Amino acid sequence: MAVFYKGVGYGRYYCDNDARLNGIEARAPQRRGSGDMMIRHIVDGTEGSPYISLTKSYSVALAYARMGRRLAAEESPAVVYEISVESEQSVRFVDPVLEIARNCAKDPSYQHDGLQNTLMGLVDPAHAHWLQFPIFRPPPGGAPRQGPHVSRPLTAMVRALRDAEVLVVGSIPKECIQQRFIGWDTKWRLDY
Amino acid sequence: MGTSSSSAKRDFTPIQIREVPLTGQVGRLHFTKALIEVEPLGLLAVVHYSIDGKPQADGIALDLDKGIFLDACEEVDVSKMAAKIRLQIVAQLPQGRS
Repeated sequence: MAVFYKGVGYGRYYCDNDARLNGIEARAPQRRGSGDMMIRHIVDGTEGSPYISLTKSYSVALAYARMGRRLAAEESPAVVYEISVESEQSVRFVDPVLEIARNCAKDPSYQHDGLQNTLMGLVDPAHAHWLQFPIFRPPPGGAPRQGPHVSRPLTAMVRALRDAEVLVVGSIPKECIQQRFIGWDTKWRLDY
Repeated sequence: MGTSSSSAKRDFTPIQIREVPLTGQVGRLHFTKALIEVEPLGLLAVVHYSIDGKPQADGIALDLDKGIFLDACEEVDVSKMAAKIRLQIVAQLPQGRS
């Protein structure tokens, strides 16, 4: 049985509305998923997306949950759901790294052309300056260029790996929501 | 084994939050501050604002990767300000130089 987590910040829909009652729906569950849609979901945001983001890491879920419409606190707690899926349940999981990599296998131009630090810029916003750092190009006439080429598939794969992210297509039925944790900071408990 | 006593102790320390002052406005809305986890560094910030000079209890979360607000502001459409607010926050992060 696979176990995943979803962090929901204070003031968000599935913080105020218990997903154990009705399950979880994507922002646009009726839309068809695709490689481009998956990249858009991870790189640009969930608006109009048929995917739901989950993570294999409880720590990552906590980090996303703590920052809602308010910083999670005793008077404004956040929520983390534990989601587990039996093999016979009809939930469509997608591993975005595998899916995107499969598409990239035909064309290696997804790779960046910058320094080794380029990936740090993708992983950590505080190191985003590496995404603007001048890169060298071969002579003759190879004047340094401002910032490496970083493709959207690479960005999506790196960020999905960072967040231990798995996507579900459409919706997650309530039967798959096993637990709901509620809390703030490092103070969390089971919500009965 | 392999885990120092200081790192073990840090596991149980409350999350460290930094308050980052913000400037900028959209109509009646003035951005005031952002809250972000700094140890370890978070990927989201809670952006607070005032309306007609009155601080609002609820803010809106900003995704520092994507440069988008994750929440809508009922009073004023602030979506176009996300990139500018992101830059202000990132410039004030511990390693922020962009």
